[in-house]
Amino acid sequence: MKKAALIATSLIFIFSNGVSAQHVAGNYDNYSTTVIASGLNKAWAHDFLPNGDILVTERGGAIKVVRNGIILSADVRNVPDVYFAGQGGLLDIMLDADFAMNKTLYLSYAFGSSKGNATRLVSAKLNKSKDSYQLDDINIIFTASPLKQGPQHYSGRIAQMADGTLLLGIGDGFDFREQAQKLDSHLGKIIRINSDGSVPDDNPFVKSKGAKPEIWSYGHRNHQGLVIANGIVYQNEHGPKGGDEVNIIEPGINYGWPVITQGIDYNGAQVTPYKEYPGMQQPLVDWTPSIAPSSMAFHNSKLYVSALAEQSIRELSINGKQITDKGKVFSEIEGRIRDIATSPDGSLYVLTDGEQAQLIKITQTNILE
Amino acid sequence: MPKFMQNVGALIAAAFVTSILGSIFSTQSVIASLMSINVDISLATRLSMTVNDLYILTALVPVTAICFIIGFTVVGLGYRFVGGNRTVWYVIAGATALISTLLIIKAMLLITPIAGTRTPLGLLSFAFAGAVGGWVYAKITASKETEL
Repeated sequence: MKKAALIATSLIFIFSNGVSAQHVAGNYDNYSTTVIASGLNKAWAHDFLPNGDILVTERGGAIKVVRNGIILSADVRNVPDVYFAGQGGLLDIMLDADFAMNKTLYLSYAFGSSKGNATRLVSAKLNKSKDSYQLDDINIIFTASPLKQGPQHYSGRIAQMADGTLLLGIGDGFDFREQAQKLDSHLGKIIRINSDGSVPDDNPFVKSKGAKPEIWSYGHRNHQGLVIANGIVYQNEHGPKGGDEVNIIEPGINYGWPVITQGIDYNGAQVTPYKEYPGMQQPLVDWTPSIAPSSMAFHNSKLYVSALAEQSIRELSINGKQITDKGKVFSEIEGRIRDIATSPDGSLYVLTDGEQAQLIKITQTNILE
Repeated sequence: MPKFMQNVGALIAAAFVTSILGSIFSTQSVIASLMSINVDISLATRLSMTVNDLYILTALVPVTAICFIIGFTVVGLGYRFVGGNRTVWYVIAGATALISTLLIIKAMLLITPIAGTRTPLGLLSFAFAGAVGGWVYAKITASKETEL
């Protein structure tokens, strides 16, 4: 009965065929959107196994397995305990680039308690179990320092560079925004480590006295999208009220938060008197008012940004180091969008937000460009 | 003027004074935090930001007024039944009501609603602003010996 219910809630529905004239999308002429799975609870991220199964993280601490449009009744076993509160919980999941050989994946999550918590990154082996999968050889490879109070702004997005090193976004913890400018703190940074947790010798601050050697870039607020394509690291992050950004991340660069921003505090007060400041990088795209970008995918030489507040997906064109927002696409997909990723077969998949989240596949049927 | 209207006028005056002080204190706290990470802020920029931040009065005055209504009502009853120095009662009520409200909002939203109150000193400055509001209310209504 339970299985039948799962099947019923996971039935595939074809929403639409074709694109209305108001679409701004440059890449897509015709496409269809297909609900692959429904009823996911506060889903945050997903990744694709070589056998076609899709792993979906839920912030409460579960990893769901979607197989042929069905959510398996058995979750992935041995998932580490997470601190599930506010924006915290189980966050990103990413297979190692060499997963087919080493069966390794990475998880980010909020670790700790209300009195002290942090963004943590672990590696684990994914092995098949009788009816699902299980994690073995779980290694904590990074925990942000210092621990903070309050369950907000963890970031947690993971990416892997061509040399196998890992990038991890760490939010500013909301109440600790000035730490984004301090090199003795991991808050408000992107860090880079080896897959075993050690620090690469060529990190920008590895020889700076007092600096955390893992820091790759700093001056960030709450990263949500982190994707690497053609050797370039693209990132987006939430501003406060306004000031959402897209950046190209380069090592050692200061991206300005909270000294520069186009946004203001939620109550209307200024975060800072400055929109620019010497030595601080301007964003390539700014969204004021905020769209609340949640994730980002590289697809057909373009970036696709999912958004929570705007409940949209935006297409961004890339021309060298110039990025241009081309506007909203795939308007059939409604609601807050939590995650977007490109599957191995070249389709875009999106996760909606909330307690009845859906995994939706966007299938391209004709390429204009 | 009816006693009720006088009390309402005193309440509005107290909420305005507290909110203006709170906004000014919050801005100075935010600027101090920026300067602690070596950001240069001139006196002119400080003054400009302080004035711009008065925009938050549109939200702060109503919230302050509501928490004062609750706090001053409780204190009015306390003063009536316990006695003592009336002004001190309202000063304590103003400080307590404002801090309690900030802490309740923080507990509900899981964020600090006003950045300037993230530090103990910033929170203390809001307690002072609330206390001044309580003093204003007590003084305006003193001759009438009334309370909400």
